[in-house]
Amino acid sequence: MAVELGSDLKADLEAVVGPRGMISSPEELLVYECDGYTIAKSVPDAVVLPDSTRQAAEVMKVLHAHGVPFIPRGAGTSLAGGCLPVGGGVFISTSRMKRILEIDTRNRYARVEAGVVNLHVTQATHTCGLHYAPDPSSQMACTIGGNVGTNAGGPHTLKYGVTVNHTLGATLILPDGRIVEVGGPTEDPAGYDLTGVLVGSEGTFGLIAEVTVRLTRNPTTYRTLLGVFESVEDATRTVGDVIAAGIVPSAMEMMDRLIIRAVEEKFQFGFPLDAEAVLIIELDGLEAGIDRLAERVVEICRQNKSREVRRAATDEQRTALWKCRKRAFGAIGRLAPSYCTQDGVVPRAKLPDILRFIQATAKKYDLTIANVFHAGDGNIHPVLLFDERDAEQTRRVLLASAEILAECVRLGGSVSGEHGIGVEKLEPLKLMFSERDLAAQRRLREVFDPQLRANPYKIYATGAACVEVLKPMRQAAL
Amino acid sequence: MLDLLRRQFDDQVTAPSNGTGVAAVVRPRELAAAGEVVRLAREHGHRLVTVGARTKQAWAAPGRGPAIELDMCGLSRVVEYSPEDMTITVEAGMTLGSLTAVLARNHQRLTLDPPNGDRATVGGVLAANDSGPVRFAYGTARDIVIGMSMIEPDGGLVRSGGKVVKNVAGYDLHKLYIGSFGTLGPIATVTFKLRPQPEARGMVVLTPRDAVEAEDMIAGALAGDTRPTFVELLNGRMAGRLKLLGRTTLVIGFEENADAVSWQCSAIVKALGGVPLSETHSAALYDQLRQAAGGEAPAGFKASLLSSEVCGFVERLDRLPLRIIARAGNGVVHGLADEPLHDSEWTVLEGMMADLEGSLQVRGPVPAVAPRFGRPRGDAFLSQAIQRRFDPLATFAPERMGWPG
Repeated sequence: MAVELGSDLKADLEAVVGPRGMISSPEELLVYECDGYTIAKSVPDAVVLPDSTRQAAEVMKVLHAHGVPFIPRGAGTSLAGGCLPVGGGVFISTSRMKRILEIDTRNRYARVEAGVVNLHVTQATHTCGLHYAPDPSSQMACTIGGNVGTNAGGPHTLKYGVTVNHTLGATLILPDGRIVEVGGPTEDPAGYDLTGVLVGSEGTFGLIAEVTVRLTRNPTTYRTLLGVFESVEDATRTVGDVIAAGIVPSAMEMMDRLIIRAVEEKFQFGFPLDAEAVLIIELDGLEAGIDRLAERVVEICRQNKSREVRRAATDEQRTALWKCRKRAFGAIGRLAPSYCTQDGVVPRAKLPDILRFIQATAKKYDLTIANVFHAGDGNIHPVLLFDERDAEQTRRVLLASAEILAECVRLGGSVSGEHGIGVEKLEPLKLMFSERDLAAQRRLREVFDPQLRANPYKIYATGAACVEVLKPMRQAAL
Repeated sequence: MLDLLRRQFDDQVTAPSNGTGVAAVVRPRELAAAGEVVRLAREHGHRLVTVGARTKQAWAAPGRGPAIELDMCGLSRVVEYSPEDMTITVEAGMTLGSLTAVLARNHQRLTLDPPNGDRATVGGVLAANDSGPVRFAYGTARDIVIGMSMIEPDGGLVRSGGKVVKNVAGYDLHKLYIGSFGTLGPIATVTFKLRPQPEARGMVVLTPRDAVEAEDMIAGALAGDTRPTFVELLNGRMAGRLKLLGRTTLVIGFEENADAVSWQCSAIVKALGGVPLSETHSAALYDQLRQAAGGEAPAGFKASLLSSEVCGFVERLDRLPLRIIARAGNGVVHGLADEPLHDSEWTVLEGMMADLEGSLQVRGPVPAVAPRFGRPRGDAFLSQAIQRRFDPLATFAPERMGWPG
């Protein structure tokens, strides 16, 4: 519920960003009521849109003077409620901070404002033979600042790593308005790896205003294969066998029958509707030797009883194949009025176990759960289908999600591979970490944000009072 | 203190010679005992300094006052190895040499290749943030450590990260410990992500005329059709020491499937000239390149620059009596001197750094004119605040980070 902004605060903020840099009318604020985690909704008190680092720092100073909590927000694509203004607060949107400030192709870095869209970095550097490697499925919308906040991944992390491996430094505005440069374009800076802890901090250290990103040399060529399997087990065993053979594909993505159906209906790519699972395996690198590697991968698929292995013969086919994968979540809209995308990780060898568990859980809670995930690194995305207007079904979705995450931890994995903790996983996080571990994390947060005003109630509960506010079941049932 | 430790830890305690500033050295055999040493040190108001194979002790600033040394070499076990997941968890006292051998049995490797690879401990390599040539392709410790357990001042064990390669649950606290020189506490166990061993290795050795040609070659290699695994620049003195021609030398290396390695070596020779090495000679030279930045030297430094500045920097340094090897693709330059440098020579170095983006870190005795860890950074106050918050009694000798006060 939005709190009417105090007139002092409103005046002070408008003095910095001007009337057009602020949104405070209830109708306009409704647009911001949730992010990608649609089960939980909460409207911010206001949205401020600074147009530069300097202006953003002034905004932060005003909020600091008034003791107001704030939530940094990029494109609002968080799938974990990372942008949910629990307990009120002001959004600081980076949508007007979208300049690419510097591109250094020789030294392979770019400096960008936090609101720059992920894909735009690659579009700006592609013709120089470089790209920005972390490519989450939402890359046409999500921002670099948001990527840094969540340590975003994507399908190519198997070979190329995640956001932290491509972040050289950042300009951070602390909650008290001070501007700090961490890291930079030169490597191994003295002191502690502040860039390293900033990545994945989910907005709890302040506002990331600018980022220095590493650029990666484009591969010369690709071989993109689509393995069609009669069972999810066969497909997951293939993943393990490819790794055991010493091959590191750039991506290994799996989709199950429900996803295949939805995607095929929308995009008519030519996916087989009766396959239990398809595995997209992509190799990239130089022409020399790549066909030999591709042959070995095909052989491994065959050894695991694949029905067929298709190859993308042209760039267009490759692009079309990836479009289906990256827009799978859009296609899911056909399957049910609402869906909840989970994000968990298990050790690769345990993929068959977790998928069996997901199927059993679906039966137990009378739900339909589709699976699309980054098989190469054990990062699963079960998609629970439901109708959010049905409170009882929503409750079952949340229970099923919690059980799946608990099982991920039990199998030696994690409650989040790339989406972050947000509000969604406050409880499951306690399965992974002891009270001592969480106390150490709180200590770190307090160094950056002693008043706990930066994206409060995210990652872990910062006070007893927020417990009731956080139960998404209650919110969804309202 | 020594007596107290002896009573508790018996033969795990040794007393070093007088005048070393060390009250006692304890080498526990179990993690719980290590925690107990830390707790006792704090309780009795002592500094605690963690040591491994002692290959890099000259890198940190000296600690203040008598310290207890926690020797982690007795904690060297493999905790858990999962070849099919390409992850391994080891105790911090394990040497890189032992770790390499364990991984090799499954044709896997750790993509971290600092000098003293056989003797240096995992914990020491991480605490000093050491690295080697293949950082160009694979990054450094922060890019391959996926989890860690650490000992807090009260002796308890805290964990960060996990055992899986994708993990964004909570803060990556363990990243702070990399390069911390033990000032946040001892690293107890580390979980790494691994890679398969490459099928083949190859290298091309080039001898550019001067800095301009060297930079052209490097830029050409980076922008061209090959994808080097490492790019090493040596000055004449270093090349001579490695029994190459005593001139500026550029070594471009590849690790890949065999076809790709041989194709790339040919492509480099065609585009830039140079001599391709056989697999055997590549292996031998690689070991030398890896070790070149190591070894005890009376004076040394590590400079971090933009890659494009390296060749000019190395050429301008030629008048100083330094052996230099640079990870040219990363902008990291290692200099070693056989004699301590004069203040005037440090002044020259500092002067060069003043005009460049980057930092200079001194290894060995620090001269009056050069701060050990370079010009203070604007974000140093955050690192210091973190240290104070995590170790309020300064048990872990924060002065070793070279911070003032």
